[in-house]
Order: sequence, then C-alpha cells, then structure tokens
Amino acid sequence: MSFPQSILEALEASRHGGVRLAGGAGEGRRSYGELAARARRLAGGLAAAGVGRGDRALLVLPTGQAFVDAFFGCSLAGTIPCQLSPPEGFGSARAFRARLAGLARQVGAACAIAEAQLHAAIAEAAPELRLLDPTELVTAPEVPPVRPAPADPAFVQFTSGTTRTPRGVVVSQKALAANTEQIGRATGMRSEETVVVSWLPMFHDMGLVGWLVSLFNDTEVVLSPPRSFLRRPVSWLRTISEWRGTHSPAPTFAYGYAASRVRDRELEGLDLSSWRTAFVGAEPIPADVLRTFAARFAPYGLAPETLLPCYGMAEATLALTFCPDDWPWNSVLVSRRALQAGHARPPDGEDDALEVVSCGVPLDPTEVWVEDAAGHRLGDDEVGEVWVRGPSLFSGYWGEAPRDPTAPFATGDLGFVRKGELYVAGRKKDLLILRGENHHPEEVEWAAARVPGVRMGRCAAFTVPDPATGDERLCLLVEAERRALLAPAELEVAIRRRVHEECGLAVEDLRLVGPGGVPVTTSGKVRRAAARARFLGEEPE
Amino acid sequence: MDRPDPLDFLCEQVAKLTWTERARIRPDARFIDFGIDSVRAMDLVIELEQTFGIEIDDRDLAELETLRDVAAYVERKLEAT
Repeated sequence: MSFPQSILEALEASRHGGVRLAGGAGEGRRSYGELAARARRLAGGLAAAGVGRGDRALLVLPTGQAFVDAFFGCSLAGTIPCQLSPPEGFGSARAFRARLAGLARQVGAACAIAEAQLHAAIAEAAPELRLLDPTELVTAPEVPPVRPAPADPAFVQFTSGTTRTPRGVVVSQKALAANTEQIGRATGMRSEETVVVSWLPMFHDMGLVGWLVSLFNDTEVVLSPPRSFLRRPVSWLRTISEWRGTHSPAPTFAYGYAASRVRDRELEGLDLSSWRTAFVGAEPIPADVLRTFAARFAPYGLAPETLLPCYGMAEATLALTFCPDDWPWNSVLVSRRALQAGHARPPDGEDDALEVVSCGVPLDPTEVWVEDAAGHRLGDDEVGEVWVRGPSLFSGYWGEAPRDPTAPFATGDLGFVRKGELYVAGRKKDLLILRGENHHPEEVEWAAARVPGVRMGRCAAFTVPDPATGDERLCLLVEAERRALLAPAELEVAIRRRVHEECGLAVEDLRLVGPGGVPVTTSGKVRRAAARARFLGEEPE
Repeated sequence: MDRPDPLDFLCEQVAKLTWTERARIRPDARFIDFGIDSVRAMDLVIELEQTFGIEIDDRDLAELETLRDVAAYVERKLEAT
C-alpha cells in the first residue's frame, strides 16, 4: 500500500491507529477514523463561520480532544492551522496577548480557535479575529473534505518566541508526508505494534510532528499535556510503562529534568522494556545527560540503544538525521582548540577535550553536508556550516518570498561529518536555545535596550548552563548609562519585565555594568562570546 | 497543624529558589523580576499545593503576576475549602 500523501489521505487510510488522551489531556481513546468524522463536522462549523480554504486559523488550545478536533477540522476544510501556546505560568497573560497580536498580524489570521475562557484575552489582543469555540464547531453538520494539492500548506509552525519578528515556517502536505515516512521507516514503526507516547507541546515542531508521525504510520499514540510532565516527571515514564510505549520523543532538557527529579519511591513496578526509541533533540545534546538518564533508568528495563540523538528543525518539518535505532548513541572526543580553528582532531590533553554527541546519519533520501564560507563542500572532520537537501524541506516563511522546497538549505548550524555521521558543534550565528526553543539574542537585546537607562547597543544576551541541572539559563550583561534615572534594582526589574513582555522569556541572571563593561568590536557590535566569558569570570573586566 | 501565612511562605520560597536574601523579596514584585519562568514556577506551584493542601489549576496562573496576587489566590482557595 502506498504511503499517504496528505493529512486527509492518512485519516482515510487509517485502519488501526488512534489517539488516547491521558494525564489531564482528557481520557479515552478514539480511532483516527472516528476522529476523521469529528473533523468533518468541525470543518462544517468552520464553513458556517465563513472560514474556508487557504484561510489561516490560530489554534490556541492545550493538548486534548479540542486540539485534535480543531487541527484535523482545519486540515479537512483546507484551512491552514497555526499553533500557538495558551498562556502558561505566573503573569503570562501579558506576554501572551503581545505574542498573539504579533502572530495574528504576521499570518493574517482569519480566526482563532480557543476555549471560551480565553476569548476575552484574545479579543483584547487582536480584535479583528473571529473567535471560535471548538466544542461548538464540532456540533455542526459534516461537510465533504477539501482535497489538498501536494504543495498546499499542512500547517504553519512558528519559530522563535519573540513578538516583534515572529516567523511562520510553511510546511507542505508533501513535506509532512515525506518526513513522517522517513521517521517511521528509520525507527521501525509498525502499524499494529508501535505505541507513540508524547507530552510535548503541540505548538512545538517536535510535539506536533511527533504526533502526526503516528497518524501517517497508522499507529497508536498516547498524548498528555506538558504540565503533566513538568509537575510529575515520572508520569512520562509511567505512561510508557502502562501503555507499553515503544517510541517517545523529548527535547534534551527533559532527560535531565526527569533524571534529577524522579524519586526512587516513585519507580516501583516501572517497566520501560517496551521503549525502543527515545528521540533526543531540539537542542544541543550533552553526553552527560544521556549517560545519567541511561544509568538512572537501566534498572527499570531501559535498553542502552533506546536513546536516539537526532538533528532537525522546523524548516525540515522535523527530522534530518537520526542515530539508527539498533545502535547505542555514540560520541567523539575532539580538541576544543582545533575545533575553534575549524578541524575535528583528537584532543591535546584533558583540558582541551570536548565530547560531541553524534546526531547519526541522514534519513534516506535526505542529504547533509558541510560547506565553508566560500561555498566549497568540506571533507570529513572539517568544520563548516551544515547544509541540507531533502523531501521534507519547507516552502518558505509565511509572508516572505516562497522558496523552492527542493533547493538546498543552509541551516545556520556549524558541524562536521565523520564516517557519514553528523556532529553539530555550535551555531554560525549566535542563537539562544532555551528548553528546545530557539530565540535570537538580538531580539532580547533590543527589548532590554529600549528601557531608559540602558546604554543603546551595549547589552549582550547569552546562555549559561545551570551547574545543578545542565539546563541553559538566559543571562544578560547590560551597560547602564552613567546618569540612569532608575536605581540599579529598579532598572533590573524594568529590563526583566520588558524582555518578558516582548520575548516571553525569563532572564535568570542579569548583571549591570558600568561604561566599557560590555565588550564590543571596533565597529561597536556586541561581542557576545567575550561578554559571556566576562560574565563567567573567565576573562578580566 | 499550623499553616504558614501564604505571603510569608511565598517570599521564603522565592528567596530559596533564586538564592536571594529574604529581605530583598518584595510582595509586589512579579515572578518574572526574579527570572522565574513557567518551568521553574512549577516547583513553586507544587510546593504551594503540598503546604496548603489546595489544588492549583495551571490555567489560573496567567493573571497572577505578583507574589501578592498568588498569596491572595491561595487565601481564596483556602476559604473555599
């Protein structure tokens, strides 16, 4: 049987798979066939509301039945779903409204589908949006589904958390189908055996596509909301144990979070022997996190080859490279100094050694290679920018010139290839990677710089790993004007609030410095690496 | 069992979580002022639930900005039980 080429075809072709809701996302199980019937009704509701083919719908829903209905309903109506996080955490309402307004403008959204209790907040932020309640939409009479063309968008995936310059990655039906087929094949998914378990947020590519992999490969999936994991990390492992989960993805931070917080007494009777693939990705992968997680849960049946580092991005739908699922993960020791100079060489002593985890091999037929700045392909062990080409690449950013999905794409990541495996070793440009989400340091710096009393252009944003957990923490080094109107403590608060409102980020460490305290180049550009070294006391002030 | 005052308790927890002197934690400060994001705030939510025997719906958190807001929310929950 041929692999489905769109969400609609996948829903129609499904024979075995279905979605089970757990951990506060709801309960019970519905087959993809039953979900398709609900989606046809929801599409009817959209049509009645005047939302149609090609329109963009903001989906502001937590993981649960309403999200599944709204996403599939849009798919069957030909409406393009754009997922966005409902407000979460203390005081998040303000940042939520700013972000929603920015994203709605960016994609020219026709409507927002959200639970009724959020409607007032959405109306305040973006009064032009039609507000729809998924529980009402799904009671409409069915309409026949709109059959998409292969190049039609399947969804828009927002990258970066900022409000000023949101970017929506357009993923076509064809790219989605290609990537879900690649992932299913590379990880041995089988319709009647595979059980995907995920608590990842649906507004994140790993959460959304991680779920759709189960649809296209017609498997079972158990979904729970992120808060179930954040509140009780053991619930992730319990769900795998209870439902005999075989595949479960998570960003790197989650493995550290789980290993450090789960207590022994919570583990009684836990059986992880069914778990054959734990996708690890979305952010740099420190080997220690893998080692700690593997050691912590091996007594409960976690096999060494379960952990599967991978590399990908929203621009590639999700995944580009995987460690083959019958290998244990592996890493190499290279020289820090040589790496800086662009070569992966054996280290010169312990101080010079850096462990880099392999992201595995490209998913067939995707190609991955490394180029220097002049556009020459580099050989093994030479560091350059990672380029990719393959069937899962995106069709452009919404509102910008469309791109040819078959053209090569420069990822912005630096890395090297050794014996066919990709090793990612940094970014060409600075990027803040926080809990699996990418943020541009410039945007944080611009937000901070607009607080009166901050010297324009003298602010550096970077991340520093938390010594206790290994999590990256957002840090700012800020030069205060000599005659700032606010006292330092007040200035710090004003900066933190501004960054939170504009970027949705919490600044964990903020240091105010006097004139010359933030290193800049001779042309006045901030030197972030030097600022970070100064912050950490590695470089004299 | 003696229950602590919610506001006092919150100030102490924030001081502990952020390695800040207790005296510098003001009730009208926002969580974001201390760099507490939604993941780190989860520890605080769990601590509040266990100490006060209440259940906190995560959807209620969005409008609670300051330590004082959260303390008042806890008081309301306690009165309702």
